[in-house]
Amino acid sequence: MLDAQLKRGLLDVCVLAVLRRGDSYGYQIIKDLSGCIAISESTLYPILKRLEASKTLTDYSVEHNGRLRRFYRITDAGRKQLSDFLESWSEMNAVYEFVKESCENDA
Amino acid sequence: MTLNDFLRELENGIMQLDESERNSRLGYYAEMIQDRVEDGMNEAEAVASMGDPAELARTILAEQPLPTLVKQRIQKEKKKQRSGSAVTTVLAIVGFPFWFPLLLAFAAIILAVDIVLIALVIVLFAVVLALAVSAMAALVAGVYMIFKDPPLAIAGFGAALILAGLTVLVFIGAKAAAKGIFKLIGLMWRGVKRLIVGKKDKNNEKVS
Repeated sequence: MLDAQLKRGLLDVCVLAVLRRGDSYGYQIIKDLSGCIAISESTLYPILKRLEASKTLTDYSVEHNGRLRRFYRITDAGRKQLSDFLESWSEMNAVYEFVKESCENDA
Repeated sequence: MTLNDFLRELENGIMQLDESERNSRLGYYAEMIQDRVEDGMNEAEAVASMGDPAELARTILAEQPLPTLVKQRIQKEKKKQRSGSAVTTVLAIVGFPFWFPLLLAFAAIILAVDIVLIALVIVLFAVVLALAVSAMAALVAGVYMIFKDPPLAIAGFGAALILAGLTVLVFIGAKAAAKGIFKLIGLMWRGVKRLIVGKKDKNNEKVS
C-alpha cells in the first residue's frame, strides 16, 4: 500500500507522462493509466486542476459528436517536472538497490 | 438513472460552489459519462459507475478548504433566510445568538485540543534534547575527571552511555508519537469538514 502523499505525487507525474505522448482527454487518460495505476474519475479531477494551477498543463475544448470534449496539453514546465522526477527517482533507485542487496545477502 | 438525473442531483449537492467551479465539475462528469456510453456502455451503467451523485457531491465539498466551506454555509443560510418560509426565517434569526457562539466554541475547542497535542510533541522532543545534552555533559565531565578521579570518570562515562541509550529510545518513541498525533489532527479536521458538508446537506436536499 502506497503512502497517500507519495501516491498523489506519483499520479501527477503519471498524468503528465500520458500527456507527453500527446494531448488527451479525461476518459482516455484514465484508460491509458489503467495499465500502470488504477484511478477513478473523481481522483483525476483534482489532479488535473492541481496540474493546471501549477501551469504544468493547459486545457482547451474540442467539439466532438455535437458536444464539447476537454483536452489537456503538457507545457514546458510539465516536461521539466517529468525530467526532474526521473532524476530524483534514479537517486531513489540507487537506495532501493542498496537496501535490496542487503536484504538478499541476509536470506 | 439517466445522465440528466445524475447531473441534476450532483448540481443540487454542490450548489454552494461558485458557478464556474460548479459548471466545470458538471461538464467533467457529463463528458466522462458520455465517453463511456460512446465506448459501448449503456447510459444507466455509465451513470452508475460514477457512484451516488449525492455522496460524490459531499466528497467534492469536503475537498474545499475549511474557511471556504464555512463561508459557503453562511451564504447558504442567508439565501435560505431570504427565500425560506417565515417560520424558518424567524427561527434562524432568533436562534442566531444560540447557534453562532456554539459554532465558535466548537471550533475553539478543536483548536485548543490541537494546540495541546502539538505542545505534547514539543515536550517529547524537549525531553530528547535534554537527555542528549545530559549525555554530552556526563561525557565531558568524565573526560575532565579522568586523571583527577578515575573512578568518578568511569561513573561519568557509564552515565553518558545510559543517557545516550535513553536519548535514542525516547527519540524513536517521540517520532512515532508525533506521526500519530499529526495524523490524528488531520483526521479531526477532516471529520469537522464532513460534519459541515455531510449532514447539513441532506437537510437542504429535503428542503429543495
